[in-house]
Amino acid sequence: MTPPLRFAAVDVTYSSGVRAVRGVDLVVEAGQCVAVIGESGCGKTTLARAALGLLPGGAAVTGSIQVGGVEVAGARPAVLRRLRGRRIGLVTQDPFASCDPLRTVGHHVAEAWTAHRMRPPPGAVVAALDRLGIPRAEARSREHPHQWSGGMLQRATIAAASAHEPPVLIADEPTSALDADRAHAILAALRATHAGLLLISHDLSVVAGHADQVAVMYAGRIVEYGPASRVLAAPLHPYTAALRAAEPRPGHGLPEGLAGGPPRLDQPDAGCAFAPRCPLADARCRRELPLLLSGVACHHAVPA
Amino acid sequence: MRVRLLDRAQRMPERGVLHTPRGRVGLALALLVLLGVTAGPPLLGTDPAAQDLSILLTGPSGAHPLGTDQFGRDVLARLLDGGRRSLSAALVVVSGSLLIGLVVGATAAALQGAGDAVLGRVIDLALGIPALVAALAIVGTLGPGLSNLVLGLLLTGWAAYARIARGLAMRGIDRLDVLSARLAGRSLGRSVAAHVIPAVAAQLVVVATVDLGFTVVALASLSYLGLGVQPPQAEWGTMLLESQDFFVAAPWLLLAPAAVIALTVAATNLLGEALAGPGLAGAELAGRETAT
Repeated sequence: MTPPLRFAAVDVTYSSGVRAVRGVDLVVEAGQCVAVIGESGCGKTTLARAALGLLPGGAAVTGSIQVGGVEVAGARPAVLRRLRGRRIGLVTQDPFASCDPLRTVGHHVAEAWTAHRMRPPPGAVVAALDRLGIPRAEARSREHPHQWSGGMLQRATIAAASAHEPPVLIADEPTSALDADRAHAILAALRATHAGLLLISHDLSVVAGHADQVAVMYAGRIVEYGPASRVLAAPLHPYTAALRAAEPRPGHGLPEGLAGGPPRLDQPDAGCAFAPRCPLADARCRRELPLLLSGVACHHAVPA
Repeated sequence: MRVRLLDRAQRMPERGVLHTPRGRVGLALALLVLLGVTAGPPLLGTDPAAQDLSILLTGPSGAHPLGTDQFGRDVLARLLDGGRRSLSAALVVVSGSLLIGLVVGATAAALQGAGDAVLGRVIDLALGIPALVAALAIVGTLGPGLSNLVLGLLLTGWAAYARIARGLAMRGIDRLDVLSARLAGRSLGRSVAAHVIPAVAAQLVVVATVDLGFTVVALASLSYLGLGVQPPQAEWGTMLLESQDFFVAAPWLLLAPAAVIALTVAATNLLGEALAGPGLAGAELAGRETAT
């Protein structure tokens, strides 16, 4: 069966010369939640935008990105329009920003149909909101976004994004603009749409609780990949270990930050990109690019 | 978070123009002028073109509250009747400019790249031509008359709106709600039409309110030069033109249209500033004045 989303050897280079994504292979299977984690600027948002065909003009994509078997790298706008909303959807970080403040919430959900020049079937908008647990959906759908709470409005944007039950949803930090206690409910709502999910996040607790597979990105490359339980509990890559160590834990004092910053992405690869910040780095790391083998790209990792 | 609140605050209209003093005064003056020209002529019942040679250039009286002119015509009747022409012509110029400007500006923003560069230069070109000079050229070519005057003012009037619309639409296109419309499967053009244009149009209406006053003055100025409404029909600028020979003997002939033009400009300025809210009015006005 064709997976709903497949990246194969994807490279994205912006017109500024920044190569933000480097040789990424990643598959989201039907109904599976794949989380992409990493610090800001590691390429995770670029990866999501590439899948949606939303990269700025002048960005070059090589390799193959397939949504339900249809190639989107370099696809014409009409092809992308047909896929959007039907085969792939997006849930953004800030629900208030993703809704037009001049229109009702119901209008936003109805756009899932009107965008494709269809009239929403009678009751479909209210049913979509109702499915996601919005009380009094009929009346509330006539309200404007500012009258809704963030968590509820995020559920409405999920209702809009999943209205046509696309086989894959991309959620770009879907909980970071919300109160922490809403995060798990939103993730549960996203999982409940039964879609494959590409979850972009830096909230490790959200990822640990909801993702099936985790891809750790550093400097545009996936440095570790595997089942969420394994990757987060027993990281093989020193960067994943550092990410975990940087996570605040009550009673354990201040988390250990990672010294230094991420590398410049307008340079070609010279050895492991993490080497300058890595406690294990040696001469080989600085010379030779580690390949992703058995779920980890590190010369020092001992694959389990 | 702060960015979002600011953005929403900017796009949510202030609650009611009537909550500011200038808004209340502006609205009252505007209603007075509007009511005068719409309900005035039938209420007054005096024919603005009826001549009575026995009462030439008489001052204000009970029968003729604003006096009579050199043909014995009632000045008040001519003022109200002429106001219909002045105001409707100004309304056509402003709403036409707004519509053309909105479409051109939003199109430029949506096209981006080369299309935007070309349209941007066209807008600059139109902005570079002084409005009155362009109107004079059109009237000079096509002949005097109110409709040619309107055409002449439209020729450059849209450009200021287009420039504002282009700027607002460019910012609007980057908004996440436009992005989510596109991700629902809308084309860029249709996303702009659905989510960018309504917000931009609302802001242009604020500019248009102030512009209405300027346009009334521009129309009156050109009519004063004899390029607009032709006698015996009444219009505020034409009345000014006709009054100047009798200024000393019958000053009410000049003062009446001048006062009502000033009243209209004051009404639109106050209303426009109240609509724009604090801080915005100055910027919009400054932009508009350099363009006119």
